[in-house]
Amino acid sequence: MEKKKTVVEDSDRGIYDIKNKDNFSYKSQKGLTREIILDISKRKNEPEWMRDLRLKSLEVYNKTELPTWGPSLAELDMDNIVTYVKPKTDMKGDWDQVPDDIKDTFEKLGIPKAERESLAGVGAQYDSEVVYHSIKEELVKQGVVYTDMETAINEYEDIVKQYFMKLVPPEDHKFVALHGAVWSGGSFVYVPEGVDVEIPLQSYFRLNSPGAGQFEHTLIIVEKGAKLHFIEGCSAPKYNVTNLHAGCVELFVKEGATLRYSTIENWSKNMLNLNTKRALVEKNGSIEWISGSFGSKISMLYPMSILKGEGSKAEFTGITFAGKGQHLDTGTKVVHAAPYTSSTVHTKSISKSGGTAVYRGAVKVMPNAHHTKSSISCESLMLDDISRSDTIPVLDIQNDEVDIGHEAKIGRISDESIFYLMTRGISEEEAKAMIVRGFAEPIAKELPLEYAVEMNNLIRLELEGSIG
Amino acid sequence: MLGIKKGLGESAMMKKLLEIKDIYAEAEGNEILKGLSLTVNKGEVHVIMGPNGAGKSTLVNVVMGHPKYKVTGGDIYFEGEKITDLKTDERARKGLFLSFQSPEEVPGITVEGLLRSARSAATGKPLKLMAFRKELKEKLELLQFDESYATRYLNVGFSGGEKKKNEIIQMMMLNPKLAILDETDSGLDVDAVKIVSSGVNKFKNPENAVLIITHNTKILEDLKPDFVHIVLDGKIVKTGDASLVEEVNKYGFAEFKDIAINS
Amino acid sequence: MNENALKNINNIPVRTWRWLGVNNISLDSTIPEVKPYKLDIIKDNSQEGLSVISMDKKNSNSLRLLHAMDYDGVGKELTDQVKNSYNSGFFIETAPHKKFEVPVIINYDFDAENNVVVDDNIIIAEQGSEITVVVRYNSKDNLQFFHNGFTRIYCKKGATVNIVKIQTLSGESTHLDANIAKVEEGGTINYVLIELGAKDSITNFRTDLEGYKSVANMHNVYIGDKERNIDINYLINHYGKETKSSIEARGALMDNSKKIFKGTLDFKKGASKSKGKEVEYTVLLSPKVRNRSVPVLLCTEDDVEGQHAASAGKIDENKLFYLMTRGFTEKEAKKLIIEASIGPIIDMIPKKTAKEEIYEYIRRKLINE
Repeated sequence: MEKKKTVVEDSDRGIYDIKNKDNFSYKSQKGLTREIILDISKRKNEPEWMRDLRLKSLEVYNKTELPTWGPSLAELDMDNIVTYVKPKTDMKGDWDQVPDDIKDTFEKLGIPKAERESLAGVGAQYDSEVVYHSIKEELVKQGVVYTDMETAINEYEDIVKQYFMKLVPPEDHKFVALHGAVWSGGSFVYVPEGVDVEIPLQSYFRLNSPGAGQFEHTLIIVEKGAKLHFIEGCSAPKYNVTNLHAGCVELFVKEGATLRYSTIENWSKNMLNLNTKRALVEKNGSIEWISGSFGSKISMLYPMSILKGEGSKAEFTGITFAGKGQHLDTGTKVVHAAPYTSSTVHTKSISKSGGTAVYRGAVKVMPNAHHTKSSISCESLMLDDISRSDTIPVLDIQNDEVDIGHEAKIGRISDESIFYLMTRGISEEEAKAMIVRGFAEPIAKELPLEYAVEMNNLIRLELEGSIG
Repeated sequence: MLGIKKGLGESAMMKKLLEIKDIYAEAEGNEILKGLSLTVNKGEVHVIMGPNGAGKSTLVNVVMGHPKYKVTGGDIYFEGEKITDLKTDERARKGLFLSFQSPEEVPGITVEGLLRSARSAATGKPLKLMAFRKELKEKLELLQFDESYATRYLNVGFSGGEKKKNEIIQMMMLNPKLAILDETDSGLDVDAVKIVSSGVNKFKNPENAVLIITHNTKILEDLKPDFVHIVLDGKIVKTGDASLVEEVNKYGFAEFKDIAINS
Repeated sequence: MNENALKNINNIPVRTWRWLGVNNISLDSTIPEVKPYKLDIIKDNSQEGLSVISMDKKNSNSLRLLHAMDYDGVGKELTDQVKNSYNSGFFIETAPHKKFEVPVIINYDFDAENNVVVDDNIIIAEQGSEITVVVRYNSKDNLQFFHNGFTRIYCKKGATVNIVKIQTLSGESTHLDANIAKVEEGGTINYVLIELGAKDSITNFRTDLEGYKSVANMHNVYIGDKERNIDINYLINHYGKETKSSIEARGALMDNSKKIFKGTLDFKKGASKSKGKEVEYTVLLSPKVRNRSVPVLLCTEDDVEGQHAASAGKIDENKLFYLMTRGFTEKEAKKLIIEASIGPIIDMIPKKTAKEEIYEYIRRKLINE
């Protein structure tokens, strides 16, 4: 099997020292065997091609090294990776085991009790069926398909086979390979040509399978001229019994179509969030990412847009808030692979209480992508002197008929701004909170109201008792 | 609180809004205010003039409690209460307001959003949204702003004139007891100055007071001052009435320098 | 020398995705044997209170002590080569509080006989002194030359060091240049770095702003043409309080040239009230170039102001049009615009003849475009 350049690495030291050297040398992976994979596939009643894909992914996984850049993944128990994936009949935990701070947040965010338990992977599935059904009829009328991934493989096999893991192949990196081998759950959305889906579809309706949400695969196809706004999850913290999330999102935006993909990633603070998201955009299509990263202990999240068709566009608006004990390495990648394409990136990050926020980005302009326009702006706010904020952007340009601009800023809340608000009678704490909310505002603006409200509440909770 | 007592002493006390007693203040180790004293009573309009570097801005920042400035002597009283050690927002909630010379741009917070937060901070009570919005709309019209300004980010992309007018709107919505206007007329064209003056005139009443810092005096054509003070070298060197403005316009500050040296 | 000495060199301070190819660089060329270098680099540089001597093996061993620095330069093996086998170099030391108006000129000329330069250079600016040093790496013949240099600069309390480096080596040459500077309280270091030649121009500059209120300003100009490969790696570490830095890079790329610019500003904890700024402008003159920029900001101190901006594209059409309406041909207009852009940095070269030579050199390159 050919090793692609993108994944194989030499043992090399980066700024984030990986303490456990064993992570580098190739070891036979205990426990994650062909048998287990075959078992997963059999239980799901999958067609042969899917089973083969899983097996191939397992092979790639075993041959691939961990990345040598970014946060240390030393705490991931690679030797016992099987414990993250072995299908148990009941992967759900005990409500008593859900950490207090999560229970607290549910309370403060006003999440109903039934929902809480489902979000915590503890209780029965929140009865989203009720809400879902009324929307479902509308969708069905338009010919929109919205179902869970397992059902999609069986009922829409032809379409799924065409697209599944074609955009994000197992060779991409170790955790995609893992995902390919053990994926489970997720959403499948198909929007036919010319259809404008007016209400945003929300994936949290679809938290079904056990060990919910760890390795879910989302596949969305928006056909020519169609429009869709998809919201992945809600901003409430998602508690999980295990701590690895290696999901995958593949978005196919066809000619003239528009897809807006909003996420608030707010996994609980013990999670390692290694999600891979990618969009392929055809001629005159457009992808818009709205991304808020609040939770997780460690996050490596870089939604990627491939502008394959002439005139296609990508827009990325993101905010990352790294608090105590968090290392959030996020950003975005854009590849301009056709003429007259454009991209806009606006990211903001906040770090406090010892958290580390890293913006990691790449804008690549291929030799044929003349008349590319790209503008990137990253702003980082540090709220104290024990945290960390890094900006690591790369521009790779191989055509001269381009217009590329990038700017970044790092700093703290200006004393003058605080003074100004205080002269209006607003207390120092409230002034700081207002400024931080104002900093996050461009993201909040793009979200549906209840998410924006939740996000603002989240920010308030994060800031509570820690500004000083 | 003061009890309701008759007598000249008490009623004079109740009239007193701001009292600056012999203030010494420094910034970055340099002494700028050198024993400045000033009293502003209800219903009065005071003007402070002086050349650049005299200490006008320092005075304003010291009254509002800017952390960069250190008071090394003297005290400040507001309505009889010592405020020298109070934080900026505490002073603002007592009824002090500053219209900035260079207002800050605060992206992400709207003009309306700021006012709502400030109002709730002042009254401690939730805001009646409809009434508030109506009032804001009126004030915006008065200062010839389009309604849409309410939802724009605070001062972002505003021209110099718009920023200054926005300060006056805030003043009118927050209704302070003492409004300090720091070089409000600088950078404004003739029409804008007239609009601002009319706003200030509408605001003025026997229960509040206005302290205007200017070295330009355009604004004083429509606002009649009761007292004019010349600040030179960190002190008030002369106090007079409106005619002092003309003197300064004709002869500049040179003549007052002698007074400064001798005082 | 190990055949891997030119592989994975000029490492970036913080790694990122490998597929971008910016973490380090590998060269195909080989390292020649180090033979003696016989030309005089110092010529006439005597000034009172200034010591300018050549770094040959006859000099005292005390110079060796200064090598104990945690800096690998362009690559560890290359740095070792300089340490162990240098064939030239200079040692400059100023007397305290003396300000030298006349710049010290150091010429590393290359010719058929002297085609390898491995130089070990030291500049010590004592307290309160001011000095300007102009170092030129130049060749007239179109042969293949090899340069591997290592320069250490100590800018003591309140001193000012202006260092100008101009590289105009032949189009087949290899240029490897590592520089490290330590700046004490109130010290200022200004760099003017002009990279115009060599097939592979690999430079690495690290400045540690250790002292309170120390300052570093870097101005860089590069022109890439033909098959040229330019790899620039600047790192400024802010340790002291109220330290200031600025990096300005302006260049043009034409034909099949490639360039990677890595500029890192690192604000360490405790460097409060520091400010750092980085700007990079690249003019692209051909569709076959490859332009990569990695402007990095690292920060563990909140009370700082850090910013960077990078932009790349063709020459401004409006400017071009304007000049053409004044009678300039497109080529001439482009040349003028590029000169206007990099001119302010070239003008920082203190020696008039050198300045003019550089302008001429650039003009020739642009005309051929």
